[in-house]
Amino acid sequence: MNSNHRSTETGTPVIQAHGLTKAYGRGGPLALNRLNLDVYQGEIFGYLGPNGAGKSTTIRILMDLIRPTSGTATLFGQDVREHAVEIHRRIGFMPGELNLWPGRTGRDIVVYFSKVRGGVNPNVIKQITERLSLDLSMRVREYSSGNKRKLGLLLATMHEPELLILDEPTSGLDPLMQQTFNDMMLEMRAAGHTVFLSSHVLSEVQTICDRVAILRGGVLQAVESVEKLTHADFQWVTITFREPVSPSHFEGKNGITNVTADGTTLKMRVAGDFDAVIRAIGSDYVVNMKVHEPTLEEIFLAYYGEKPVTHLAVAS
Amino acid sequence: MRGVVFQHTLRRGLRPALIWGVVTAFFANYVLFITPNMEGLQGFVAVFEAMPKVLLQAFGLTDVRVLATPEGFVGLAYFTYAAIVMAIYAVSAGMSITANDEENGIMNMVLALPVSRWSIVIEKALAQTLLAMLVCGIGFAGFAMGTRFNPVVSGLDLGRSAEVFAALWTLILAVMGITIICGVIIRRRGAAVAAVTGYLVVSYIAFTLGSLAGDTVGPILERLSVFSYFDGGEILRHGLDVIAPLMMAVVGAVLIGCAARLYERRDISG
Repeated sequence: MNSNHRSTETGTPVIQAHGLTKAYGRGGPLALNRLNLDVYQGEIFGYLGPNGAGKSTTIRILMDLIRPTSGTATLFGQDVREHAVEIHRRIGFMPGELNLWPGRTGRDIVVYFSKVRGGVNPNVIKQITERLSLDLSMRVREYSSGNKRKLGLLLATMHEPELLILDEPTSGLDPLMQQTFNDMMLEMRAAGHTVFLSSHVLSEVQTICDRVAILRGGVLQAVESVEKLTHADFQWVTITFREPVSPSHFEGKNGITNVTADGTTLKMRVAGDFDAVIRAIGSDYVVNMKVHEPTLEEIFLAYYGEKPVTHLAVAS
Repeated sequence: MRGVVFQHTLRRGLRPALIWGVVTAFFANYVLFITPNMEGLQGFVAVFEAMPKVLLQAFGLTDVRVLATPEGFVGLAYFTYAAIVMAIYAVSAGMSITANDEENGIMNMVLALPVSRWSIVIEKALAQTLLAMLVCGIGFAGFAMGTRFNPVVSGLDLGRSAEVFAALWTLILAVMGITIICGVIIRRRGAAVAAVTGYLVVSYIAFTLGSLAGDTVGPILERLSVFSYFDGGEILRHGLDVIAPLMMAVVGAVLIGCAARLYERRDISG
């Protein structure tokens, strides 16, 4: 179990969606279909799904960039549309694709955004800039995609928002910067702030999120704590024998599936007790035996069953 | 914070406005410099009188005799084209209110700030209105300077000249209003630009040729043309009739107000 996670499914709801539905165009397919979701104060909430699942649509509704066809969305108990200005004072946002004025320097934009917000602490800006190793003297058009993400992160966090809404925040960040990002998110949570981040890179969700929602085709498939998901009722068992053993000895036995052979090693998915594995080994000589917890990617795929999951990035 | 978007737009628009202003001023200087003397102007009248009426209408001329005066010549040779140039400037300024940032995906970040959509439209439009005033101001300064270099035009009334530039400013407001509302209603910038450009082309044709086709929709179209409400030569000759410019300013303001309201209600392209 990852010690980063904590149980937060209680307390004050920060994000609430009730029956949120969005159709683009009359009679068009539903980008979001009756979404009900509660995100609580002080949690890091992962919003998972392949491209086109409806993650960005949800975020754009929460940010009042688009209006739902039906249903309601509230942030801090206030309607996202009616109280957009008050709400935006308290939140930080980074869109999936960050676009800013290409001819302006990072500093110009930071100054402009902080003036519009008002009351932004220059020390915080300095601190985050240094932490992200971001050069603000460059023009936006000169930034790499990773540096653009850093600038977006700075703009989203410089006013120390109570709620951060991030759409695919780590795409383009190098592993070192991804670690810095994770640390920043954990610090925000420690300070009692809430983070809502969408992703199709599941490993980052597994590392920092407390709870995740899985979305597909605009329909919420599941909302579960990462802790519970990582204790899913199946495990991977790898057994190395002295002599090659046929997978057929194991396949089909109670709870054993996906048996693959690689020389003298067999790998299998075991649901429930290990008794069937021990019995199937029988008198064969076991050199080594390892049990792995399934990764969130595998749990995620399990949720999707046999349906193909497109554009799903499985980061190692 | 209120006023920051206004200041930001003003700062960002200053350089382009200065360029447009200087171009307008240079153009004024050029026309004033080449304005012929009274004999030359009479010669112009003779040439124009020999032309078919339709062709004269295409130049915006209803009475060729006015060309025999410096006011008439400057009105035709400078202000007719200045109106077209300013209309193009107004389209460019109007597109910068919402359409450019939305097309480029920048609006997503701007609207995440604690500032309402309507105030973004209004603050930006106010800043562009001021910048348009600067363009006209520089244009007038260039015009006033130009009258010193050619004795033929040195007698032009500078007060009335200033009135022409004020009327030109209201023309910018009206075209800007049309552009902003097109940018709000038609989400794709290219389509919005095409719509406004189409309107201006039809508007100009209706203005120049509308009255010739009296038994058709020509006169109605002429009334819908922004160019029908601006006549630089007429203002130079007889002073400003405030009704037409006032109407254009009101139309511009109403359209900007409607755009702000409509922008509140619609989805932002992502």
